[in-house]
Amino acid sequence: MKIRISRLHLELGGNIVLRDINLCMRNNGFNVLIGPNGSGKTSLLRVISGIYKPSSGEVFIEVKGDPRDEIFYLPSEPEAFPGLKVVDYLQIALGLRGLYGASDMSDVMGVLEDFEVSSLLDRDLYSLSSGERQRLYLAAAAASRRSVLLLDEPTSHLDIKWIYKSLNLLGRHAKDKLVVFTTHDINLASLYASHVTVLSKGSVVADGDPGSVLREDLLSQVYGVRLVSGELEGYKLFIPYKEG
Amino acid sequence: MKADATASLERHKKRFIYTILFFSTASIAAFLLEVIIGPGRLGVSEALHAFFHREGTAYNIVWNIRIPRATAAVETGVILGLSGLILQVALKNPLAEPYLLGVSGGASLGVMASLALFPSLGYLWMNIAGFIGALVAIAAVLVIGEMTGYSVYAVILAGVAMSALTASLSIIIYLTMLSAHRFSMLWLYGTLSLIGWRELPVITLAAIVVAGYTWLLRGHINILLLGDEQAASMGVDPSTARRSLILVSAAATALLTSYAGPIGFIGLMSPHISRLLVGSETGRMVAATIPVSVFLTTVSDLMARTLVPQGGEAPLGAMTALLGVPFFMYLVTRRYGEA
Repeated sequence: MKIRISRLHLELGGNIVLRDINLCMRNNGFNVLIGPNGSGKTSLLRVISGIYKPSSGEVFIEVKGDPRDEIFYLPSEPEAFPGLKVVDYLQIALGLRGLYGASDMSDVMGVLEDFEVSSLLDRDLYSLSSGERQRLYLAAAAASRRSVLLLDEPTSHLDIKWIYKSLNLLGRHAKDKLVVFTTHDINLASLYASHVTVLSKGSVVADGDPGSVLREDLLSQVYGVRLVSGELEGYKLFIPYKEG
Repeated sequence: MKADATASLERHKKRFIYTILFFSTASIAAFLLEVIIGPGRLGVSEALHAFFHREGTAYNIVWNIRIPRATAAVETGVILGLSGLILQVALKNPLAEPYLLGVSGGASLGVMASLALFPSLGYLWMNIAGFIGALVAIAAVLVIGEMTGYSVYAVILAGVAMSALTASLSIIIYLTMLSAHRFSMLWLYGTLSLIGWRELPVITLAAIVVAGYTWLLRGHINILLLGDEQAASMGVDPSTARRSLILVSAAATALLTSYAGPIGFIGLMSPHISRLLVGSETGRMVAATIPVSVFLTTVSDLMARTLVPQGGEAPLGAMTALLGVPFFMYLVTRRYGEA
């Protein structure tokens, strides 16, 4: 399974949002997109998911079956209909069969229990805390039968325990899926990515394994803030340099 | 599967089945009451007699007035309930419904204006004029929506303003143009009293089309419930889907309005009550909204026919407003206070 992007350009309302993107992502661990605000991370996910049509260039999604039916895209702030219940969300997002998705619910219950959302079925989506809601969305992604997961900032709204627990669970439940996610947390990329892509102003400025891509000089320049790094438990971690 | 999740699903399923059974039974009962109860002259026992014996004036009243009218109440319930349901999803607005969006008002103004200009117009042209009026009204409301980022309240305010405007223009036409008097004054406030066997086929067709359409598109409507971005990623273009949903609901409402005038709040109340009872998934919503809406409409019409003393009749639209306005206030203050 892979996503291959070739000479991709995207223009929205007269602005060039993505320029000359060439990229290949596979289903061996997490593909992580990083880059400053407005660098094109979300736009790139939207092009892959088919929401935006490329202005030029091509996106090949090489999966078994129709790519349309294989993509699970999770926006950073999904805007579900007011009053949607958790059980309705799961039934619709996962295409569960039967009344209230009951015929298929037992298949996904294990994942829901791991993400500790299995007792929330009766609740309104908007009565959940933002963390609970995010866990529900990630549980849905992990339980989905779709083989390509495109997750936009999946760890926002989560506390430190759930950031790491969710990614571990996702790694376990989605180990055969092709997973791409965006984040603002460079250290998450360092800890979890098998493949990192750094975007800046709509272009790919670095792409590869975290060891070669996550460098002080490159990231300082891209983010416009001086970053320093150190090794901890074998991982390279970054903090901003505090002057004075 | 964990016991509490299983129990929760079982509870949901049971409530769904009870909801359908209760409102279907209640609808049938209300339909029968519509047939056997009426103002003045015809008593219950005579009506029952006429129901089974095809002779005399009683027979005429029951078979040619009351049964078509009760049937019209059923079709009206289907059209308004499902139009409300699909407009709410299409506009991502839980307060949306044909009347509050100005669709019904636009349709009735279209009909009034066409009668004023072309007094001898046939029904087909009246239907078309109603449809055009409905489209103009909803287009104007959508322009306001576009300008305000489809804010829940701005869209409803624009719709209510549109309703007020179309109602005013309709009544001016009615009071100044004799040719507009093909309909009684009741029609301006919504009534089923003008619908007989001759008018029923078109309304029935509208009800079947809107029900069939909503049922066949339930998968798309479901995906729209997840939000635009997720819909687009699942291959449903939200703007195309939204346009077709609005068009179908406007067409069905316009056809109904050509014969029945503007009837409000049924399209607001029925989907809300259903959603509360069976959740938002569209298949379940269609199954519940139809009986809930048919029940509300039939009971409202029964009230309109029987609550006014001395054999008079109140407009159905006034009755549905009596029920619907407190409901609307509740939704605004309690459920969507912060929307």
